[in-house]
Amino acid sequence: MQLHGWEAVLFYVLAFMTLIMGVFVISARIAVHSALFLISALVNVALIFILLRAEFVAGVQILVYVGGVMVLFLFVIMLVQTRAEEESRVRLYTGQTKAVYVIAMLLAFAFIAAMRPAQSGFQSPDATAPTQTSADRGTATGQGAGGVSEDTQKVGSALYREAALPFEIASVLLLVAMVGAVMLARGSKQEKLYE
Amino acid sequence: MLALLQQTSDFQIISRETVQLIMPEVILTVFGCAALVLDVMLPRALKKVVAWVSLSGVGLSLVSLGILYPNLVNNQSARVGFFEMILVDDYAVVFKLMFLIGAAISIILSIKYLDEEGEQHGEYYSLILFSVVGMMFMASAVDLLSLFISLELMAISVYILVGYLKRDRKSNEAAMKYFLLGAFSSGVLLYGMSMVYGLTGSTNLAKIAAAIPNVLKIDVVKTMTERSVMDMRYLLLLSMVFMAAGMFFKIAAVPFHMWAPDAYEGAPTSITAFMSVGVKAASFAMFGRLFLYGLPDLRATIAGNAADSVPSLPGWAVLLGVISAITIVWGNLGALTQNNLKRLLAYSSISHAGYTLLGLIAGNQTGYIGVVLYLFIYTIMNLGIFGCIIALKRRGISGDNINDLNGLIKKAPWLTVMMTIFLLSLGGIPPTAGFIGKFYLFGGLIETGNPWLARLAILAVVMTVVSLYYYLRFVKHMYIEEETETTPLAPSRVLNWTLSVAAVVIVLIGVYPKWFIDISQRAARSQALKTYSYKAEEAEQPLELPGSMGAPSR
Repeated sequence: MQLHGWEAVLFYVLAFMTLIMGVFVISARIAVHSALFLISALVNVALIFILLRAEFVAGVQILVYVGGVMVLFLFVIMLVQTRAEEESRVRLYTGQTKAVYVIAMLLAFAFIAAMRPAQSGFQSPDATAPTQTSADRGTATGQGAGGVSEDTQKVGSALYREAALPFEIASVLLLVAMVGAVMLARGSKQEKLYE
Repeated sequence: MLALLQQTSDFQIISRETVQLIMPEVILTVFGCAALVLDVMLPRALKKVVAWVSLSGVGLSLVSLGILYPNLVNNQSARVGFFEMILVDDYAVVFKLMFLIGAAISIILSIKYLDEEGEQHGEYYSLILFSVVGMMFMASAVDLLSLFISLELMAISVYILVGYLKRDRKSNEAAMKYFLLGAFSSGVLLYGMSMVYGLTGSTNLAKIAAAIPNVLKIDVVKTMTERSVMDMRYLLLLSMVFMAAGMFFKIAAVPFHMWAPDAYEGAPTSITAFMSVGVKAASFAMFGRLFLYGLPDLRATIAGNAADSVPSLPGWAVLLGVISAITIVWGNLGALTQNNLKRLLAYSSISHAGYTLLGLIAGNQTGYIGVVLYLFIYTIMNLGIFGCIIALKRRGISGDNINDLNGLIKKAPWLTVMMTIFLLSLGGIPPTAGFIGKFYLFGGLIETGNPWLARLAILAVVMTVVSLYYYLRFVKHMYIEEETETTPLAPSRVLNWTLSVAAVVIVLIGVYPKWFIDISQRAARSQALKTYSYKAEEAEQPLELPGSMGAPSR
């Protein structure tokens, strides 16, 4: 799918903002600032999802990451003492910085070199369908600009049909994560208590 | 909405055949949950019951795999299930067998180890079972989605297990390092996968393989004034490199091996044993699926277009060749100076990952047999050697320093003999199983007839000789050095019996390898894996050496 006109401009602005915010996340000295920058990076990504007509994913992105995960992050930051690190003159960056620059430049160069001859090489997920521009996609399904997107329905049916097995494996994964969190966070006093 | 309901109702997602395909995993999951519940119910003295229940879960899972297998052979069509998410072929079944055997031995090692540490808890065993569920799905998954999520299931369980000894700083550090680098590598892998999806329009490996020839086509549009080339090969290669990098992290191949020695040293020894065989074998199973089933067309030189001066590009065989050469050399050299047995075995396991990669590079039947056979043998022998280290563990002595082995022959002759067998097998000395595995791996390379691959095989053989130095150092300490520690061993009968069986199996495979070669051959013959002949490539595009240009002079 190719973006045209204002959509393309919007995409580049959002992508650039996401990158800038990402850099701020790791360079901010105060942990709360990092968390706030991360929120704005995630909101930008959600906006890109909307641009791609993936409204459901955008909504989930906001609800889960910005709503759930980030609140958790902020709680952890408030509970854990980070003041010492903020005030001390500990260098955040070690000698690895130069190596990181070199590797990042090489990677960026590799990407540009690979993307340039490929032009618009990425296929639309439904490769058999004729390529539609994003504008006539809405009209084709009989929905105007304000119409209800089919996106959520598609995600739902995929989740319980094609992706039923990975969905079930993911549920085991969540169980494991929960067991692990309890196991690692439990102190020896609590261990005695439940025995 | 109604239309959707009708659509789904005539679509039977869960039929008897498809459930049968995942029965071994379902059984393990149920037992994993049961272990969690049992742990809360049982008093402290009876915690070991959880271990035995988990072990019986592994056993039942093996039985169900045994029942499933003849049905698979008879009924070819029922092998694909859940919207082509999994493919249960011989390859998957053999790997699942390997994981279950590895898990069973690991659980037995853990019983003794956790007794010594005084940390006998049920969650430990349930996490082992869950990670085996992840491994088993990794072997049968043929979709990027199911492959990745099962990889994560395995990895996250193992991260937690590495940090299981909460009060041990080293264990904390190991878990932290392993988790951070593992999460990073998963991200890299996922990035590569997302690009492959973007290029081919599908997450199913079979469909990806079918779409790749289209992606590799080069469109040259010429107009009067300019010439534009549409070439997506670079992008595809880049995504292949990303996926390979993610997998190299998981198998601890050399530029991405830094986590291995620390994680292996800090983890509880029983988990070091489990992750050195299980995680590695499962990652290789996934590696094989991704590259031999999903990206077979990227193996060798990717043809360019000479007329329009578009260059040919090297495929993943070259990448794997370079990586495996570095891995073998670095792993073996790193092991030479180690005094901590777990660190030493970590480096040795890095080099073994390099050896196993050789079979994927060879790309012929012999090489694939080598990969499966070697992983099978490695599972048994590495668990054996770690079992011996755990057997040495007793009050106040961790058993993982090389000096703890001093004069072991006087204290525990049979243990010393078993340890010697495992070490010789790791080194690849003829009457043991390790030799057979290496024979197939190196033989596969030589069979290709490609001079570069033959050189790679020679390098591997030379480094095998180097590896004998550090394996024989164990032997020197056990047989020749004077006893420095007089504390008696705390033997465990179950552990000793298990190790004895493992040692006997190792010798048996070395003497009469037919049965094991047969089952490895079944896996290697699995139709999903594309074999490749380097000779065919040379016939198509004869190498144009400068000397052979023009007619020979008289």
